[in-house]
Amino acid sequence: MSDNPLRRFPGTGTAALAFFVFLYAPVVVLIALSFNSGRSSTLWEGFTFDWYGVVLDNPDILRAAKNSLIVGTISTVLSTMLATLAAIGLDRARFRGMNAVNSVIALPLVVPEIVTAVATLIFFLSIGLKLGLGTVILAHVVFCIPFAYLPIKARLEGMPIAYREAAADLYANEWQTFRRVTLPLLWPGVIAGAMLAFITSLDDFVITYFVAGPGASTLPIYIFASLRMGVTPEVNAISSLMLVVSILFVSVSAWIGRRSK
Amino acid sequence: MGEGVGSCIPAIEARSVVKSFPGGAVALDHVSIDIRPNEFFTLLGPSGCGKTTLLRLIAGFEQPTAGEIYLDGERIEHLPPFRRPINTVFQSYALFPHMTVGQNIAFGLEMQGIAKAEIARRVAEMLALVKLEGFEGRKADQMSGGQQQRVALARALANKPKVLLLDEPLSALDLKLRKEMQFELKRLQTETGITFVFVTHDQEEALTMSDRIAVMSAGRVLQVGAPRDIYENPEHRFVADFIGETDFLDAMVEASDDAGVRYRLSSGAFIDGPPQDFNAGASVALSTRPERLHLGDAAGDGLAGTIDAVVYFGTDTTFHVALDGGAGSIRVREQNIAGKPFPFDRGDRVTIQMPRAAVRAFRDFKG
Repeated sequence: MSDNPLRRFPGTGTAALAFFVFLYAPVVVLIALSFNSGRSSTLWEGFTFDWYGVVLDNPDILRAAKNSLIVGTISTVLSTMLATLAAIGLDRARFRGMNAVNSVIALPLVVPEIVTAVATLIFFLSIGLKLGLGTVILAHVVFCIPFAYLPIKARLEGMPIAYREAAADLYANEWQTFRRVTLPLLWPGVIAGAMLAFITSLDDFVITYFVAGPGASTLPIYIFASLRMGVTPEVNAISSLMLVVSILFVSVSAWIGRRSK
Repeated sequence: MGEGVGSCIPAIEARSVVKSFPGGAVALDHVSIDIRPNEFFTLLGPSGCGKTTLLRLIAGFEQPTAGEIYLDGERIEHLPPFRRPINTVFQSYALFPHMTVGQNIAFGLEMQGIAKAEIARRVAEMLALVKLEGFEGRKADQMSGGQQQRVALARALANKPKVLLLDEPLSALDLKLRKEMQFELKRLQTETGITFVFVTHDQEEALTMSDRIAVMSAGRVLQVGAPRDIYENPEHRFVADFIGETDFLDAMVEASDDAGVRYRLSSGAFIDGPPQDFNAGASVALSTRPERLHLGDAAGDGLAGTIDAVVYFGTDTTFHVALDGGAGSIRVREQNIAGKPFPFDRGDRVTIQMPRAAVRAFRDFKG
């Protein structure tokens, strides 16, 4: 690192510092203000945990949190299962258009979310689906698949085919090979994929906003709605909690990935 | 072993097996081979000759494009690997990293639905067989390459397969360990009486361990025979070249009859060899082995030449001799028995004594 020629340019350090300040200062301020005893979003009036208490007492927030958990859990499980099947199904497959299939799976990562949101809404309405938690889950499963798929696929590609051949050689049929050898070795990738899917689902606003029916608000939707009444320390507190959950999940995912190298 | 079993059903028989890959590459070109029960059979050849492909077809990891494979007289080429009573020791060992040594060895037995008590007994027996008692609870990555090799052997042998396939299993080991394992493998094969099919590119490994060897090149089996047979009577120039050290000289057949063949080198010098089926005037490649030749002084009887280089090997010394008249260059190896240097050095004029039996010719296809 120390012999990186870029570091000899004047201002590299300053630029890096500015980058991190712009990126993280707002987050730090938000967390700090969630402990502010006053209602002001600019003036520090003293330290308190009260806003976290208010958050946990607010039935609307709890309902939104519950919705987020339901949506997150179900869509994580379903999208991870589908992603695992897709990864195994496409592993070592050699057919024309295979690159196209891989691209299509990863497409939601690059399609502007607003486009997906509008398209999904129109699609749901045109086939007569009633908007509600179900439609949110359906939409989440779809856009979570690529997030779950990529780590699983990476793990599978790094796994020598000899393990599966050895299992087959030792009288394990396809299912036994999958259950006893492939899946256990794939597990860290599956967990990492599931964590990413969960975070993605928990965090999503745009698509959820379009396809959520009445009573199906998730936390991001609730936060957005409450912003109309101004930024309150309450919002800061929920946001901080979500941040903690996210960091936790991403860290565990990264840790599992590293440990199983 | 391997004598008088001609009437036996082969343990493995490949009949006109072809394997081509998408894109047109032909890995096996009508390979037919009989592997006898209880023999240590080696597929020997350079990388890319198709030996590993043949092994993978026998194991069932790949299907032949054409041809048939029999195990004890029954066709198996359509069966998946888990339906074949054949086990494999992989080049990379492929020990399951999430299982202990004991679980690895028990895996095949469990898949066959063998009772727990019997599995435990068999695992213990196998650990004893490969001398790894007490290692049952270890993980593969806590063991040395040689130990992993033994676990891989135990895992395969635990199933009492009819045939054990070994895909260059010693190539990852260092020289000393490799020699030990060669001995060990031979012992295991003799003790278990299982047919071993061993793949290697190492001719020394093949010669020392095998009952019979099949020499392969470019997807074909060139010659099958006992090690001595392959070494002494190579039927192809490739086999002579690949096994042991061989020098080739371009020559013409001067005369050929029941008593022997007389060859003429490009320099006009004559060499006499044992009878071979050639017509006078045929263009051939003469082959000699360095250890069959001897050096004499310039006044001696034999091919005249000049020493180009002297290479000392400890047990022996190899002299590179450039033949007079640009007829080529051949090596002569003398054993260092006397414990003192030979009276020949670089630049010396010498003659090469070439016993008739040391000469063997191949039809020259070089064009």
